[in-house]
Amino acid sequence: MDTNDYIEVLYVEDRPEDAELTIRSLKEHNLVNRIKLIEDGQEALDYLFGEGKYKGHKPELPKLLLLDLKLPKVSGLEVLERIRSDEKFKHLPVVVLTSSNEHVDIEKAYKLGANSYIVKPVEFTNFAKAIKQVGLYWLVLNRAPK
Amino acid sequence: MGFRKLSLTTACSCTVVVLCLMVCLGWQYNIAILRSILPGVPETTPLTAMLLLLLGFTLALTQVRSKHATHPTYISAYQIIIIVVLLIALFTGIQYLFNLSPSIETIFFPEKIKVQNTAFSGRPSGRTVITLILSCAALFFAYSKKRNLQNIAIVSSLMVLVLPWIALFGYSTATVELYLIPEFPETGMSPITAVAFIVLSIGIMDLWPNKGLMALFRSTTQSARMSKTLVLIVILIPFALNWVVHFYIENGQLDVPINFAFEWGFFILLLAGVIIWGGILINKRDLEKEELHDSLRQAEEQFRTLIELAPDAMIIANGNADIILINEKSRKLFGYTEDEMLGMPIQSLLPDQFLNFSKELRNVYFQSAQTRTIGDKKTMIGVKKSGEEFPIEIGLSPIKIKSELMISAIVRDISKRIQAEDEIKSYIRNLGLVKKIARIGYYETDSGLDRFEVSENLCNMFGASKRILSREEMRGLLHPDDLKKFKGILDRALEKEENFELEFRIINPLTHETFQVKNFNYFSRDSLGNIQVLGLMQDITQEKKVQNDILKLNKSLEQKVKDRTAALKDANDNLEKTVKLRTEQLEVTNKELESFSYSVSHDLRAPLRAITGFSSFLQRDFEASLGDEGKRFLSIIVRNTSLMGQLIDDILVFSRLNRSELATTQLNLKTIFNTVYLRLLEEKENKGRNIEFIVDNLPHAQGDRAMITQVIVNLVSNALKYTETKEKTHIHVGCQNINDSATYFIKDNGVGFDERHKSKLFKVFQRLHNERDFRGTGIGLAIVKRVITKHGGKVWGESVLNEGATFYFTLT
Repeated sequence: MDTNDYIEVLYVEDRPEDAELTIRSLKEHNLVNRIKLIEDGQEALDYLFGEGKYKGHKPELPKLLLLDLKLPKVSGLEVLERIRSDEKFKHLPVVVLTSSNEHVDIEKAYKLGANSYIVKPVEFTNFAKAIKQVGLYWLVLNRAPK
Repeated sequence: MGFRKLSLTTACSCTVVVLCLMVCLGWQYNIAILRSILPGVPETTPLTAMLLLLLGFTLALTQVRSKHATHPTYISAYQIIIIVVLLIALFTGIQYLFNLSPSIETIFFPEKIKVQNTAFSGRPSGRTVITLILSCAALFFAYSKKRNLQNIAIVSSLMVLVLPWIALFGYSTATVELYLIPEFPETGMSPITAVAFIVLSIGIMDLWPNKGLMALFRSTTQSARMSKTLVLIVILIPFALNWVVHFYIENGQLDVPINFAFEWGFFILLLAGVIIWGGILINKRDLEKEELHDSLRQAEEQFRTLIELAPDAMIIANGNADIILINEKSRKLFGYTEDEMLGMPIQSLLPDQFLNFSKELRNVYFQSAQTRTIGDKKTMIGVKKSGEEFPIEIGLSPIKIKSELMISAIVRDISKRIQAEDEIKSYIRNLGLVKKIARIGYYETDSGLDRFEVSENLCNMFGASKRILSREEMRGLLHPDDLKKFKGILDRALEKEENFELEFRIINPLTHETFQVKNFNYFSRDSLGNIQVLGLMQDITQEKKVQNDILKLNKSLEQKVKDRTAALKDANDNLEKTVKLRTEQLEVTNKELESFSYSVSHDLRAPLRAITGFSSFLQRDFEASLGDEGKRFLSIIVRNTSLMGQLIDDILVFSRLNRSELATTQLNLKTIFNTVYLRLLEEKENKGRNIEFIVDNLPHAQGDRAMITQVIVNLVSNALKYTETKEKTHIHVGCQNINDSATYFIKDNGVGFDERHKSKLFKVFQRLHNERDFRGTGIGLAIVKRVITKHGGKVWGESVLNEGATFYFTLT
C-alpha cells in the first residue's frame, strides 16, 4: 500500500474477497490507480482525521470514499455521520457499497449525506458492471469541488 | 118500503098523493069540493091529478132509493115514470099550441068531464103543464151526482113555486087573471093543484137540506131565523090582507081604487118597516159576529205564538190522544214535518214499552185537572222519526180549546241532563276510588271547635274509632315523638294562616302499625270569619319504604362501584405494565429479527459474491487449463450461486412484508403491468421470444405501490417463465366483476399446473414444477398471497394442465 502517494479512492471494506473483486474490477478498466483499502470503520476515521496510527499524517482529500456499511468497530453509517459533521469532509463524495438492500439502511445513508448507494449484486458479472459504472461516474465524469 | 124516518120529503110526497087521491074521489063520486075547494073556480082535472100522483110517488121513491142507492131497478123505474109524465105534459102543451081536439085528457072519467062542459074538458091548464114540466125537470136531475145538474134541479124546484103561488094569490085577491086564462074561463090552475105543486116543490127542495131555500129554513142561526120570519110575514101578510080587503069590497064598503091604494100603501109601509128592522138586526149581528171573530182570531194567534215561543216542545192532543197542534220545537225534537205530526196518535212518539201511556193521558183528561209531570221519577223515552230513542220528561195538563177539553204535553229532551248527572255520579265514585287507591284521608275542623270530622277512609286507614274526633283523640293517633314537631308548626301556621305540608308518623291504635303520613293543611275562613282547617293525610309508608330501600341500594351500589373501579384500576395498571413489558419484549424481538434479516441479507450474500466473482476470474484467466468439463462445473457453480442470491432476496422480501405498514395510494394497474412487463422483457431469458402481452383497461385501485408492484412482478414473471416452452406466448391481463368486486386476472397459455396440488400453490417453498424444467424459489406466489391478504383482498389460481393458468386477485 502506497501511503506516500496521493490516494484517489479510499475504500473501506472488511471482507477481503469483496475488496479484491472491487479493486480488480476498478483496475481492470484503468479507472483508478491509487486505492487505499481500510478494513474497519475506526481505522477509516483515524486515517481521515489523522488520529490513532495515522497521527500527524495529513493526507489530501481522496476523490471518492467507497464505504461498506457493515464494518467492525465503527459501522459505515457512523463513519458517514462523523465525517459529515466535519466541515472539511462536507463535500467528500461518499458512495455506499453494500450487500444490504434494506430500506432502512438506504434511507439512513442518504440522510447522513451519502452521495450514492449501490447494492452489491451477488452475481459477479453484474457486480463488475456496477463497479465499472461507479468508477466511471465518480472518478471520470464527476467534478469534485476543490 | 121501509122509510128510515118521516122526513119532510116523505111527508110532502104523502100529502101530494093524498090530495090527488081526494081529487079522484071527487070525480068518482061527483063531490065538487074535493075537486076545487071553492065553488066556481077551476077544478083539478083527472089527468092533472094522475100526473101529480105519479110525481108524488117518485118523490117517495127517492127516499127508498137513498137506502138502496145503487139498485138499478129503482133508478130505471124512477126515470121511466118521470119521462112518461114529462111526455104527457109536453103532449098537452102541443095540444094547446096546435089546437088539437081532446084525446089523452079523456082517459079518466070521460062521461063526467063532458058534463063539466068546458072548452077543453078535462085538459090541464097551460100553467099546470108548465109547472108539470118544471117539476119533472127538478125530479129528473134531483139524483144526478153532478153539481151543476143538482143546481138545475134546485132552481127548477124553486121555479115550480112561481105559478102556483101566483094562482093562489089570484084566488086570495079574487083576481081572475092570475089563475084563469080569460079565453077559457073554465080552465085554470085549481087551488088544490096549486097547493099540491107547492107541497111537491118543498118535498123536492128538502132533498138538499143545506142548499137554497131549505138551508135558510133549516138553519138555526139568528139571521136565518129572522129571514124565515120575514119571508113568512112577506108572504102571508098580503094573503091575509087580501082576504080582508076582498071581504070589504064584496060588501061594497070600499072602492076598488082606494082599496088598491090602501092595500099597496099599507103593504109597502109594512114591507119597508120589516126590511129596515131586519137590516138593523142583521147589521148588528154581523158587527157582533165580526168583533167576536176578530177577537177569536187574535186569541188564536196569540195562543199559537205562545206555543211557538215556548222553550220546550209542545204538543196538544185531543181526547183520543191524537195530535192536533204542535210547535216548531216539537217538530225539531222528533224530526217530523208538521203535516206528518198532525193527526198522528201521540203514542207513536213513544217506544212500545210505554203502551199504557195513552191510559195515563186519559187519566189526566178525565180524572185530574191538574198539571202533572210524567217522567220526573223515571225516565221516559221518546222516539224520533229516524227511530232514534232519547230520554224525555213530559208535563201534561188539560187545556180548553174552542170549548173542547184537550191535553197539552210539554216535552223536554233530558239526555244532556242525564249525561251530566251520570258524569257527576261517576266523578264522585271515581273520587272515592282515587282516595282509596291513593290512600288519602280527609279531615276538617273549625279553629274554635274541639271537633275533628274525619273521612271514612281515614278511619279505615288509621284505625280511628269514629267519624268525629276530639282534639285529644286526634293527637292520640300521632307518634309521640312527632307530636312536638307537629304542634310547633301547626301553631305557627295558624297564626299566619299559611297552608303547610308536614310528614309525621301515625300509630294505628288497633293494630299498632306505624304509618308514615304526609299531611297537607289548608286554611280558609267561613262567612262568619272562623278559620276552617282542611287536612289531607296521605299514607306514604310504602313510598318511604321504597325510598329507603332505594337509598340503601344506592349506597351499596356506590360502594360496589367504588370497589369495582379500584379493582378495575388495578387490573388496568397491571395490564398496562404487562403491555409495556410485552411491547418491550416485542420490540426486542423485532430488533433481533431485523438484525437477523440484516445479517442474512448482508452476510449470506457476500460469500456468494465471492464464489461467483472468483469463479468468473477462474473461467476467464485459467480457461486453457480448465478443460471443458472444468468449465461446465464452473458454470454450474455460478448458476447455483445466483439462484441462492435470488432465494435470499425473496426470503428477505417475504419477511419484510410482515413488518411494513401499508402506504396506500391510488394505483394505475395498467401502467404498472406494462412497466413491469417491459422491464422483465429485458431479461436475458426473455430476449427474442414471441410474446403477445395484452392489458385491458383496468379500473384504478388503492394499494401500496411497492407491494403491488412486487405482486405484479411475480405474476408476470411467472406467466413469462411458464410459457417459455410455448412457441408463441399469450398473456392477457384484464378485470371482471365477480361478486360485486373488481377482480383482476392474468391469463397465460403456459404449462399451467396440476389442479390437484392447488392447495400448495401459495405456500412458501412449495413448487409444482421441478427445478430442471423451471427455475424458481417457491416464494413468489407466497409473497403475492401475503401482499393481497394484507390489502384485504383474495387471490386464487385456475389451470388446465399444459394449456395455461389464470391467476385472479382482488384488492380491498
